[in-house]
Amino acid sequence: MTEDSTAQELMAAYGISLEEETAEEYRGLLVVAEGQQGQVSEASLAALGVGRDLADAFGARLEVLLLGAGEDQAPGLISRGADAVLLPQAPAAYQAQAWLAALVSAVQTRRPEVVLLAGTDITRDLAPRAAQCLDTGLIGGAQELRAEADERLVVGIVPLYGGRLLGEFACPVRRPQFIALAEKVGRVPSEDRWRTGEVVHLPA
Amino acid sequence: MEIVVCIKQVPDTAAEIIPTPDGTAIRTEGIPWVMNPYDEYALEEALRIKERLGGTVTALCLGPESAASTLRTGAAMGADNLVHLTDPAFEGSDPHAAAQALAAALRGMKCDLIWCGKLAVDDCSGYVGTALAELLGLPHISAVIKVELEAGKVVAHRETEAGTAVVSCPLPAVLTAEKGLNEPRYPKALDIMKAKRKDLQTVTAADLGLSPDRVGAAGALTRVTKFERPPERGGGRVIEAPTAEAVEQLVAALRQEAKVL
Repeated sequence: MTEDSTAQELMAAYGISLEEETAEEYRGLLVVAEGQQGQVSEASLAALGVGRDLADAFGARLEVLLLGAGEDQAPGLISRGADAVLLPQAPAAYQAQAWLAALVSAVQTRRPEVVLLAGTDITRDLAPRAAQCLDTGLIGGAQELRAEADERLVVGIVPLYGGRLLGEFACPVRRPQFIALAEKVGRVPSEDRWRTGEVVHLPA
Repeated sequence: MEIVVCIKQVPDTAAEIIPTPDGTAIRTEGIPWVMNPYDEYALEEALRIKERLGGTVTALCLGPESAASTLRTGAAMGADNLVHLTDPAFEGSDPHAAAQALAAALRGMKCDLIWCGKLAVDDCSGYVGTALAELLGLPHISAVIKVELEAGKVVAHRETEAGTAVVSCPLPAVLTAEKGLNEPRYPKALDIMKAKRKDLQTVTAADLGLSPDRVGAAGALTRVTKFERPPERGGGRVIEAPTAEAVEQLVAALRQEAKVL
């Protein structure tokens, strides 16, 4: 088998354990938004709405990592609830490795307590790999979220066994908590053109 | 071509799933167990590749002792080697903990191609396949509906919202199987008999050099706080009012209750 060089093993090699760090070092939400032909997808806008509700419950800041679309899409994200839009150096067309690197690096530098992703095929391709790289927990396919504001935990309700059972999941052990929504969860928030926010160009 | 297929034993998709009274687990008595359907697609494809190009197919399964029957099903379909990761230390694994154990086993195996199902129909997490790729430092292609092998690389088709994407990556690689990839074979009665006598290698956490706090419940990063049955679907509702008023009420209900407008 090939030599591995995952973040987890590098950290183990240097004796770094995420659990030693306090959860307080992670604050705020990061919503991952995807572009389709240069426009932010509806699924991502709906996830932004879900994220805004969580951020309000936590009294936290919400940043959007925008992949596959340009700076022209930032005002629409800010007017719908983003406090900041992060623009990484990544190709506009989906490419697993490059988008993974952009997501992992954004999490490492912005240190959100929650990473929220829409229920898309790119999320299903990317989220487990990103969570594993960061050695943190992932709730996949959540159809509903609940904020436990005191513990700063997100509880995700996930249909299991083909919808024959519902499970309530949380990721209490590590930060950030990765949450991937099920398809068609959330609504596109209405625009507030007076909302302000920043646009941040992330280094490569 | 050396191929390893990760297979999982899951409750039959028609089985009734009932939570235990305390809501922290599911009742397992009387449940018929089967190979996860997406893993069947993965195994079938691995067998077809072997039939074309030669090599071996190894079925790798993490699960309790009773999961050996699913490995036997794999052997009846045509898997050459059976490896069963089974140890009380693995109990209570979440997808993250399961991936650590499977990755440790895969590191010790020679493989050009690793197949998984795109998700298991029990927890529906879809975590393990691509997480394995990350743990092993390999490229992955997920939710594959068609695959071709060329010298040292794999070309796969995957269904996306925008249409079919054709993706290629070098070998070794991890692929996850989507419905539609193939029609899995039914094992012949004689092969089912032969599979019962096939060697089955059992592997423990200690054999893999895994510390007990990285696997099973201790290594899990997600917690289940509750299982419950979904609410019964209510019947329809008839809005009785003069047309103009009924329309108003319907629009209000679609907006506020159904939230589809």
